[in-house]
Amino acid sequence: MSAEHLRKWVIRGYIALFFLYLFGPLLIMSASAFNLSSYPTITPWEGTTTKWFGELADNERIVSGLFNSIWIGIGVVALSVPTALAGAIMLMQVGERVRPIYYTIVVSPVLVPGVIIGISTVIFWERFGSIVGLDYETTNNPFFLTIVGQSTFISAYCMLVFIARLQRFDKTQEEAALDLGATHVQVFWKVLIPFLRPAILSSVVLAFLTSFENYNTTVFTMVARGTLTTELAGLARFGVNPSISALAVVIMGLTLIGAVIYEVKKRREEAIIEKSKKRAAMKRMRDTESAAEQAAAVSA
Amino acid sequence: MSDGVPSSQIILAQSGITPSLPTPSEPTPAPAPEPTTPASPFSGINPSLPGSNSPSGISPSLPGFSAPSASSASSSDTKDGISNLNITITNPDKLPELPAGQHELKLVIQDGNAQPPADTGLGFIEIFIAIVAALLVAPFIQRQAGKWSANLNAFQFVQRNGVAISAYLLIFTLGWIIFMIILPQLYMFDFSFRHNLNPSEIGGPADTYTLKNYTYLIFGREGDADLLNWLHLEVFTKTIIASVIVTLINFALCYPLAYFMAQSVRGRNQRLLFLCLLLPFWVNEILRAFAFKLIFADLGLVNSFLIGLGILDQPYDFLSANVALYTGLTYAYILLMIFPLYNAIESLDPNQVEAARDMGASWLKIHMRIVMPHAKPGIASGCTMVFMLTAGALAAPNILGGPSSLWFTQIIYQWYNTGGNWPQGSAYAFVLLISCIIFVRIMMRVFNVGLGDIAKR
Amino acid sequence: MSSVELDQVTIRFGDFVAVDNCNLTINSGEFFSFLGPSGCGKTTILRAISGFNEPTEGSVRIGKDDMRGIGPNNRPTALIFQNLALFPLMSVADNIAFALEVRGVKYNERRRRADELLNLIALPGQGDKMVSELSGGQMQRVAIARALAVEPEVLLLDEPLSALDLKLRQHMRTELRAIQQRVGITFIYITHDQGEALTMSDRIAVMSAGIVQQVGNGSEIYNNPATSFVASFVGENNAFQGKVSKADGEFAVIETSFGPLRGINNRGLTEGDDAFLFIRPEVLHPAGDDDTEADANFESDVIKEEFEGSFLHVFLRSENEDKPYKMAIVNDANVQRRATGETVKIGFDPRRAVALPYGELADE
Repeated sequence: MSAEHLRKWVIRGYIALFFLYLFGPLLIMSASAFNLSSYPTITPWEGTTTKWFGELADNERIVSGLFNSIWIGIGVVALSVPTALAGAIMLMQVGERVRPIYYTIVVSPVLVPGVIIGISTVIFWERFGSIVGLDYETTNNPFFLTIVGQSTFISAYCMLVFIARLQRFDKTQEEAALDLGATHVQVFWKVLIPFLRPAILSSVVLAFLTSFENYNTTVFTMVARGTLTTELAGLARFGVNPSISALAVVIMGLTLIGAVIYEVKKRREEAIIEKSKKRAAMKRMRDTESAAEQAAAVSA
Repeated sequence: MSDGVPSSQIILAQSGITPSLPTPSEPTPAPAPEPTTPASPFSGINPSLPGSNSPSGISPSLPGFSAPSASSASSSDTKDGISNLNITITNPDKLPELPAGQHELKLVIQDGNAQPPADTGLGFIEIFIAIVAALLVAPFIQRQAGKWSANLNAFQFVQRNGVAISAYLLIFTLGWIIFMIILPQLYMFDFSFRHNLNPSEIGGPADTYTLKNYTYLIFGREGDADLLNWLHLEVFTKTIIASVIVTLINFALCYPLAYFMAQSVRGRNQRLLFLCLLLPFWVNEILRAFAFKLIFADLGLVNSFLIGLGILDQPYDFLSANVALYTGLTYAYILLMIFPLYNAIESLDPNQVEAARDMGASWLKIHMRIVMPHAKPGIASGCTMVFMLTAGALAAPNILGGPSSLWFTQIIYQWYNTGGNWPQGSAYAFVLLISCIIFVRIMMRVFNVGLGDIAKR
Repeated sequence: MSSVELDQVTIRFGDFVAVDNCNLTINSGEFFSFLGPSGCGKTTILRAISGFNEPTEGSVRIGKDDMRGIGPNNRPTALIFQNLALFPLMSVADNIAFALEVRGVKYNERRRRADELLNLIALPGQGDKMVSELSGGQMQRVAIARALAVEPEVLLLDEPLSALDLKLRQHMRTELRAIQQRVGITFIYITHDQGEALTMSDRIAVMSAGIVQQVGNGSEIYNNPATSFVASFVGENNAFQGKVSKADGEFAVIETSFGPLRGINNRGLTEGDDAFLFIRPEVLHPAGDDDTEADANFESDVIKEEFEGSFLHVFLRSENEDKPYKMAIVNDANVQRRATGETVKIGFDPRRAVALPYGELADE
């Protein structure tokens, strides 16, 4: 028994250490946001303050980076979600022989290092723009380049989400709608999109968050400008003061709130399912009971 | 132009970026002899630019430009033709940030009237557009032949989806594939074989193909003392090896937890565990890397702890020793290793493990012979993703790397920023891409999995 | 006006011929069934009529109009799918009114029409329920109401009752027939269940492997099958194999392993042809003393007997060990039970036996 006991404690210890590794750095960083010390640390603790939060709000580059991140996120969602949907639908319709090739091609951006996507986007559009005669300002616009560059692989991520949902779609519903007289566009909007709604929501959230926190590609495509993430990296590298820790606290706080909301929603959904299951079971019981009663009454 | 001065303009002056130069670093070519011919674009600084008699026509009356003090003409291979050249910056905010020190600068003099030269770089892209167009037309041709009619029937496609939706599907999908996936990569590949030219020189006589960007990685600059480019080669090998090591450590770290989660925990607790795992990864990767910088700093937790315990007298520079970097890199991609492992292990029937235990197999045997073979796709997926993200990581090395540690991606970044040699950067980037592809292929071969298994998260 | 004509329709998928030269006309207002085993091509024909497949050769005409090139959303047909394909995210009323919605009919009008149809299918007031809250039979009726909302000229039904249990199926058979006669439009129904086809249809087309074997009403198909397949597929039948030894006038005599047996020859069999003689179980009876007609009786051994209530089924030794012959005797006062192994003399009325050319038999 003691070997078993020992094993349990070893496992518990391992898990504890694992999560210490996972959460420890973040907790320490959060704590350092409140330390007076001008270098972010918790040792030595020079005094508790919230002044770094104020400094954070004053940092122009961070604030403008934040707005850039939001605009770019919106642009990426607008571009990659429709692209992902188109890609997923095409995958379903493309012939058996072509499908593996097609799949490899569209999934490849997921496997290509972000720096390469950033680089290739920048040099391609610069060149392509001048060949085709587009305005230099347009094709070298950091926002344009970042949105296009990020969408390259974010579309692939979202496409995977759509494929999972699309595989469960009953094709005969499309046919039924057509048969009843709907045009193809009507079938798309009235039958397919409502079915895909959960996947669309997931994709939008996924696209926005992935875009927001992207560094490897963005640092190339933003040229001289910055998103919140790239500005943050710059700060983390050179301009070290605890306002970064303050930002970390803000972000982690928001994340925590998001996680709690998500967990609460999930718990509530589960409760509803449990209740309806119980109700169905009760109904079944009642039905069989009344059937048994009737049978007894008849045979009596 | 009516004052007899050819309408040449100094591009740098026009855009306002004109940094101060200590010495010119490139030999200067001879100036064009005729004053009335529009000056052909040339790089370098023409030392013989006195006043309005200058044969190359750079007038001191141009805004933002003041005449150099050197007055003697020079031939193309003297370096000391200029002793002092003053240039004024008119738009400082357009200036890219340059750390202090010497820089290579190019002064491009371009004639405003001259037409952009014919583009030979166009050929490559044109060929590919033609190929793509051929691919689009091919289904119609093949439909006649009847061969692929079951697969690529374009007519049936439009019938099935209606015109509007077909257009939407084709435009977005092909647009994505061609303009975002295929062409940029091809162009980068092509670009990596070219010289580092100014925009105006592209398509001109100087625009030829060359292997020098790739050979630079191996042999370094021409005329260098060393036979090989030890610095970059070392960085490259170190990056690859370190990525492999980080992957292995990551795997060893995550496997037990994944196994535990998949086999022992159920229901509500499982979801809680998942959430706890996910939480740190919703935090920006920059902040996560930064957190490690805090911990390993001279005044940071680890040092204070070790000093407090008496193990160290002085703070140990963990950052320079790359400990911080490796720890941070391992941390960064835990999620990507755990989830594929978890999914793969979860599908294993726990009865198999039970049966093996009943038969007296040791834990090691159980894992090596039963669990891991079953989890092969998950292992392959996790290791591949972690390796590629680690080899291609930029944030963590930038933040956590010490001065002696250079990550290959940082060299690429340098070529793009301070080095100003985009083709070189592209070549290096391509080498990185090939390494990743090779690794993926090896993993796929060793573990016998397909691309789809790896990409699924 | 809403007749359907299939003119030399052949449908191929690659090398596979799903429908081979189908020629038939379905009359306006008729309840017409395609009957056959799975894979015989009946679903393919249905989809060709509704517009989801285009015939490789030949043409489909609805009310004299050639339907080539016209998509399913532009044909005057409505299809009831085998899995019903109701829209799960919409309410019952929205499902029914969908066809009106896509034509731009305003909400009030749509709702009114949906309520009308709900009354027609005996589900008044259930419009706001979600599809998942309905029972199997109710979903069936909603699917029909949805299809009727377009006021189609032809209603196509793809094995709609196959997912229902027995009692419900029988109930729905009557319902469907009643609805069809009430509304008066052409119904084209496909099924593999001959009981359904026989009870509901005006006419039936029996199909096998892409070929239409026979078209006729229920009694024609049952009493006067055109091919061996039809004879063996529709209802139960005993097949006696042999060569034709005599063929004169009405009858043909076939030399079987049970001796010469005689039956109606409507298909022009001549001496020497390989043939089957088909005798239905209810036509066979134990031979009495007055069974003296030539070539109208034989002897066989009883394998077992099954008392089924209204009939006594007697299983007799046949040429094929796996498929004994079956004799169905009406359960009246005279019924006699026999012992296993007992040899019995069996008689039948040759006018009710059918001689047909040798051909494929339906699988059991």
